[in-house]
Amino acid sequence: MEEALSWLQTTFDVVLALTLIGFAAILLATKDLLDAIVLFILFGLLMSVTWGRLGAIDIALAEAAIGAGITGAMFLNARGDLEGLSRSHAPDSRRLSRLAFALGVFVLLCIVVGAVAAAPLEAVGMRDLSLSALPVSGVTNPVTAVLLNYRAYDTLLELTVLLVAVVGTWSQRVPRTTFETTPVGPVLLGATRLLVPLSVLIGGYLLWRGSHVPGGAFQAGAVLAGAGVLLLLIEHPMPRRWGTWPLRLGLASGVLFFTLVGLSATLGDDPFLFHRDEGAARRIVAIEIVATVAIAVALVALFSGRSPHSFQEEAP
Amino acid sequence: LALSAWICAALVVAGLSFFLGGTLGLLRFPDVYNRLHALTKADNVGLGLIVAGLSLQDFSILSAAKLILVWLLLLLASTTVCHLIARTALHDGIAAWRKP
Repeated sequence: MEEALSWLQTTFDVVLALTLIGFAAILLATKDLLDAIVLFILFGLLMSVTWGRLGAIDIALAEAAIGAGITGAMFLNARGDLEGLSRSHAPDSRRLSRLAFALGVFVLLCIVVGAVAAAPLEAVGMRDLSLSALPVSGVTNPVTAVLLNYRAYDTLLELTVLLVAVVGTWSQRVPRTTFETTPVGPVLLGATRLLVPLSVLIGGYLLWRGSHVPGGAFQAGAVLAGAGVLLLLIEHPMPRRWGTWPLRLGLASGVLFFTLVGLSATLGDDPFLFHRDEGAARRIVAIEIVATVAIAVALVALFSGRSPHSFQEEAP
Repeated sequence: LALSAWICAALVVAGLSFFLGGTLGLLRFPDVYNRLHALTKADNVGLGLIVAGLSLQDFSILSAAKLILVWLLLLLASTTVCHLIARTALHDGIAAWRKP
């Protein structure tokens, strides 16, 4: 029985891995944009299952919510904007450079595979070190301890990347897009009415969970962003009303607050962004709450693509 | 093996058969409306049976409640999405398939 189960799991993993590679290949080969987007979303979902199989539930959640969900929605939205534009095909003269690129990637892949094969099977990692410091880190979920304490600068830079991405999108001056070609119907309105409060509840739950089990700011932010995208789709007045300074404040709050709390650590004898013992839990939770809102706002702003200027210009 | 394990396995297999049927429908049915019809049955009933089966495993009441909540959310989402796709298709002038 045990043997049959482990055989079944191995088969599942092998099929999963092969499907992933197959999807990636078809995705890269496909010419049609819509097909590519659908394949990308499917790839993200399978990737999420893969992370789950590897026991990395945090990454599985983030991949499903951000990688497949929000990014997929952004791609679909971008495709809608592109539809009117004429497509320019890449000239065939670039075939040689493509071949050179493929060759480079192949060599790189060989090196990586060789390095992995040559590495010792027993991972030396920082697992024990990280687990031994857990009692003073303020949280009990090791992933959260790594993300917001040991390697907090990583997360701070991720928030900064999101912020820069939004600023970059605004600088492109995306024209006003209407999301639906058909008028918003009662079913979408009703579903949104149910789903938005639920998203807030589930986002809060994921955030609260993050301190002790898988979950956290990025997953919670993505769920909240889902609610924001729905509000944009039904053309709810809220995104418009909050589209000027509250939008800027929400976007900047994550990086600002993270940095300020990080600096507060230096008032004691601790280094920048480092939290220890009493106060650590409170500071980490505070950062996570603000970061959740900032991430959600950034993702919705990326989806909408509209800068505060465009809202101001529109207002009488 | 306990009786509940057998019931659980039976429910999950029954649920999977709906997913298989739905996938077959997606591949074989002639137009978007028919395919949606097949797919939503698979989502709703198939996942419902799988959730029912998994709830019988030695999880707590709380995990069973969460699983059922996931199913209810999927019911809402899949119904809405099905409606939206069909509505857009109709709006775009895609005619329903008739038996030739």
